[in-house]
Amino acid sequence: MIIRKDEQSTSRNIAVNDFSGGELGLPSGACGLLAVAGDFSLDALLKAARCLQYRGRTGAGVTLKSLYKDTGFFNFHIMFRSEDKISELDEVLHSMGLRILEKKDMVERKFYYEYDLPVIMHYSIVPPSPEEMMFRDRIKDEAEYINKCVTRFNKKYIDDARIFSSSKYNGTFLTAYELADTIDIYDIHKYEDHYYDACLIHLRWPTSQGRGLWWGPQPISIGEVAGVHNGHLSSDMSNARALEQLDIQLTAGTDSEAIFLSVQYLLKQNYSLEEIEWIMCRKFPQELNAMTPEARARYEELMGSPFLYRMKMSGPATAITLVEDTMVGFTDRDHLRSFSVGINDKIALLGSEQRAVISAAYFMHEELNMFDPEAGKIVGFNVKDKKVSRLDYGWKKND
Amino acid sequence: MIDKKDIVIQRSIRYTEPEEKGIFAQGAKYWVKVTDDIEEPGRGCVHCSTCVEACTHNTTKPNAGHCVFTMEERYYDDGGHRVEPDDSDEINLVEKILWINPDECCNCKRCVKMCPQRAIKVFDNPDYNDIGVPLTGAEQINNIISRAGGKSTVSSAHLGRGQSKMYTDWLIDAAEILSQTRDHNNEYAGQMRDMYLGKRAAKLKVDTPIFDVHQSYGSNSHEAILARMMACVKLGRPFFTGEGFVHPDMMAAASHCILQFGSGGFGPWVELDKFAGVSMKYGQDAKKGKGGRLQDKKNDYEIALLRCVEALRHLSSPNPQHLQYSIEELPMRVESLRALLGDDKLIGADVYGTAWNFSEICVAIAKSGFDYITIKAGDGSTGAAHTVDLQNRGLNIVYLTHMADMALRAEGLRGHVSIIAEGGVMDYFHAMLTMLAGAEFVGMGMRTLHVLGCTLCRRCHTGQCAWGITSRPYGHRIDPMTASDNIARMIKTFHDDMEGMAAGLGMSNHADVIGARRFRYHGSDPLLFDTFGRGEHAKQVPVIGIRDREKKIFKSREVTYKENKDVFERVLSGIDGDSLKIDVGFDQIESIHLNHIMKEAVDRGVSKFYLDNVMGQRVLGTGIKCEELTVRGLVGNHAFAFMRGGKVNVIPNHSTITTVPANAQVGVANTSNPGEINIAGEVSDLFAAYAISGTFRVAKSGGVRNMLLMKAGLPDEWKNLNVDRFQNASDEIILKELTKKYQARRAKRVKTNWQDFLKEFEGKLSSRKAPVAVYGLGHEKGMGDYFMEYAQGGIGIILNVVNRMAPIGYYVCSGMTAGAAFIRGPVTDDQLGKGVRKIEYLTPDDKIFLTNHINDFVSQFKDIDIDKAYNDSLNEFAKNFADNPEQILADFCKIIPISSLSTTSNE
Repeated sequence: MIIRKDEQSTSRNIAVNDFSGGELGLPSGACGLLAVAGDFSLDALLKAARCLQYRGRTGAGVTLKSLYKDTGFFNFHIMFRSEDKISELDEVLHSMGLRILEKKDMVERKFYYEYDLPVIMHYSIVPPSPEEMMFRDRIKDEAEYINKCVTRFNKKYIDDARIFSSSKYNGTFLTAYELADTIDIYDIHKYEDHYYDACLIHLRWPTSQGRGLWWGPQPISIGEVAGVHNGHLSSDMSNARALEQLDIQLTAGTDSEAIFLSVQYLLKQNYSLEEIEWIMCRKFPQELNAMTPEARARYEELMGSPFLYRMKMSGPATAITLVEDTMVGFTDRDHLRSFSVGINDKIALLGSEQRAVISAAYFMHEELNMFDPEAGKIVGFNVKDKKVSRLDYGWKKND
Repeated sequence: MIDKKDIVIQRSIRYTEPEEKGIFAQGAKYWVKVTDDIEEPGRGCVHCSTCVEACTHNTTKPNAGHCVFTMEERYYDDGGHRVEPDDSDEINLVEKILWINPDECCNCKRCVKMCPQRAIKVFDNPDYNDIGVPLTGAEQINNIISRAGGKSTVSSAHLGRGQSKMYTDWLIDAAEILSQTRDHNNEYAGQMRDMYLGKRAAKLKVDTPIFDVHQSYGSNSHEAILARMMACVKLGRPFFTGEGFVHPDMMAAASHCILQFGSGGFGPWVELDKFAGVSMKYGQDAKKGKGGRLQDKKNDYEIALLRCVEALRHLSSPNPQHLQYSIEELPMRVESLRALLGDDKLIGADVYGTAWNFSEICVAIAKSGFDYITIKAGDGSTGAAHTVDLQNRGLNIVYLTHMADMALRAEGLRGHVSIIAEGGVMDYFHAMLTMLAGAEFVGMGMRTLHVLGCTLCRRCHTGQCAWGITSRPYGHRIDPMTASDNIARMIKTFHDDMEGMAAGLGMSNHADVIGARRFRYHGSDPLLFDTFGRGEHAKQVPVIGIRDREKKIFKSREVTYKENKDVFERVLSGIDGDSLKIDVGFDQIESIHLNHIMKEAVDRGVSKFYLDNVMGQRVLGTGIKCEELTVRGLVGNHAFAFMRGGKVNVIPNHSTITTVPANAQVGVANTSNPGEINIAGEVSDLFAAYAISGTFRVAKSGGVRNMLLMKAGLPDEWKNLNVDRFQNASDEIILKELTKKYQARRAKRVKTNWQDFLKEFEGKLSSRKAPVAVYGLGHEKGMGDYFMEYAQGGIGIILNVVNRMAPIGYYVCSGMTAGAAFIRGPVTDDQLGKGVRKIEYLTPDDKIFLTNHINDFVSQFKDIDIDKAYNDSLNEFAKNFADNPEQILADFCKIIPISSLSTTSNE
């Protein structure tokens, strides 16, 4: 119901329903996306992203890839609804076999006076030994184990806390405010001279429904996947069911999260970029006639899978997903949202408007080869040690 | 001719047999009973043929020239042999037979009203209506049978399936002791006068809380529209047009009119500063993809002229595109309209209250900067939609209004936005309920039509309305002057009763009523119970979000000027005669400020602009009257929208390390009438959508849905129209002018038949100049999908100067009803959209047309440094064309619509 509860939401003690990631409606605009991979300046990128400000004012976030690459442990960014939940939930992390090496405040105290903020903490987490992981969950891989823990934690305690960054390498920073506020609250400019080789920025215009604490702002990040999306899918139920039946759980519960997790799943399953495009941005029936018989047979084989069949995105979408060292972006086949890409030897820029991409290049003093990918065409990049390379259509992650 | 005194006249009444018998006699929903003199002496049929004249309905054979009633005369000689009527000497017996075909009857009762003998009665046919069982009754069974014949069930108006739940179970709260009852007749009590629609800078003074609703010129006849419009002027309330724009004869009342912009975008979209505002129509929920549709037979020459389309084709208002039907584009639309209309014109949003997140949508609309929200609810009507959709669409208006009011209050936006509520408002009691739930104004559409004769026969979409409301040929059955008086009287009695009711509640004016939530509901409808059944509502919402309200609303030109006076004046100091060069400095001047600076410059005499270092600023040129506009850099969303006249050039910027290409983002040049727009780069989605006239050249490619719904050119009469003198004129002068113009029209109309009357307009159609868009295509990508989707005129040319093997995507020209596309390079049949075909040869006229445009294109872009690869390709193309034009022309195919004239009605 639209009438708010009597109690005022206060900083460091936020009621979930009162403050679940934005206001009822929205200020001007649609979501703004800007992503970059390679060797770039964070300050210039943040400056460029300002031109998308009119697009979103109820949430903004930044993911910096490789920010924590030298730490050697997992870096959790956790928001707690209130201070008295912290010790209780620390116990939960313990009970999952996770060791909290260190925890510290991420936000200066003064911001709690200025904004209605949850308590935002940085945790350094060490996973259990391989034997213990096998014993606890029959999982060998630590990243996979952490993923499982984060998903469980977020799902179960969504009303009290949310782990919104849980990567070994990357850091995600979110608020339910404007980009400028996000930058201030986390003092993101201080990372300018740190190491990073990719970045996702999202400015949110709420259209979707999710649940829990600050579910709306993006990038949505779990483990080594992070993504940004502009649009509102009418296939959200279908996409979520596909993942559900693969035992991949949504935690924020939005249509966007399903896109990122689908991409992660498909990359992990070693589908080529082209096949991912087929699955998620499904071709028009007429286009099938123009395919080679082999390609068509493969296409039909993929569509025959009950899971892949339901991963098609319907409705407006531009989405950029970062999975480990791979960054992929695409639009829905109907191209109900715009998408631009600019590339040179040093960087690859992806954005929801040409303006943002060219602005970023301008502030970075770079010349770009600019293009808008055609409707429903996937673009992929690999970024490692500040080196970026474009992936071709047939590229598979594990080859 | 027949003057023999001894001729015997024999009269009879006969019924035609239904074409299909038994349960399949679908047409015979009603019995038409004509009594003869034997049955009812003195009141029997006299075979005067009035009913034959009155009836207009023939759905199965619309061109048959006869309707439910046909009068047949047979002539016999002495021997009982049939003879010709010319053989008057031999005629001995004349047999007059009134044939009645009840299959066609829709129970409109025009014949009943017109019959001088009152001999006609129309009533339900029990064989049609009394079948089935309670849960699967006549309606379901007959719908299924109709579908078995390949017809889906279309209705035009109003569900009427059951009694509105709003009607019963109310307790009127009139406790005299607590709220003293007042007398509105003799005291200042219950007054609802001198109110304002709009709460920001744009306001329109109104004298009645009951409004009319949006209905289009074209769906309504000329006379019905005029009657409703004159009633609005008389009542001191806005007149809402539908998607059919405003007839030039009625432009004297423009200052009373709020134009509706639907997804069809019909109309010339000029003289917009004369109107009171623009209303954006969102949500075609009831129509699923098909959008609204004006049937081909209703799209006659005059309508085509007014809507700027080709005649006699179905006119669709489609929904799936992101310029119009995406809620994410709301703010950009408002920004664009605000730039166009200025701060003192109303911008409204019409929304159907169907979605679960209706509160969020209302808040989004308010934050986007709309001045008012028109909430459309279930129980109301929309144009032709499937019956099932109509019957199940929307929540009830009282609940929706309540939701919207609460949401806007909680966000601190209620003081910024007016609410108009409409949909199934039956009378003053409903109107009052809706206002008590939070609406400022209430719309009653159907009630207005009853005054004109509407009996809800639900055949509006056939264009056969016997009352002349939705049938243009019979429009003269309405006299706009007296009809408008009748409408005004009806509204005044409702208004008076509402004032009485307000006074009865002890209220003294309009403000007391809005959102007071008095009355008590004790019925079973959960939505109404939620609104009015739970006891007294808290007087205030507990938490109000006004902290960053200032951010949520657009700033007026005056305010931005005041806040940025130094910057504005510094830029404006560069005015050189009639020219101004503005260095935007990439991110130094934001979109709206730039627009406001340009407006200020125009006021100071500037007509030529050069905008340098532009980086994606939006709404460039919108609302700016200028002759020349050059932009160096990237053009942002919705730039050049609604432009009229003038020449625009967009050129790339190579002045920094980063090349800023001369590209254009989404929705550029939409709904425009420019002289020419030249983009020396590529354009994104929806370029030149809804464009009415002008030349558009794009050096490279376009995104998806370019030239969507492009129109067929601006008629001359809009170029020469001068209605300035009516802008501040009194109501009397406006009414007089409307009457004068109508009388002139009627004088012409009565002298001839309808078809001949329309001939005059046919000539004007061909004098229009259709818009033309020419694309060169780039190396980066081909032309996107849905090129010229639903185009209703206009020519698209794809030169493919880079010789792409796949010049274009899929669904090419899908749903196009008029116009043509010339595409150079391979296009397979698979790529074509619905309803179009490809022709592989060009006529000599086509070749001349293309040659001219190719030459213009080349000379426009050949000297611009776009990029090396493109420039090389263009030069090569130009050279090849100069050397051997026939070879280049031979590569073109032409795509044209398959005639929609053969399309059958969906009844």
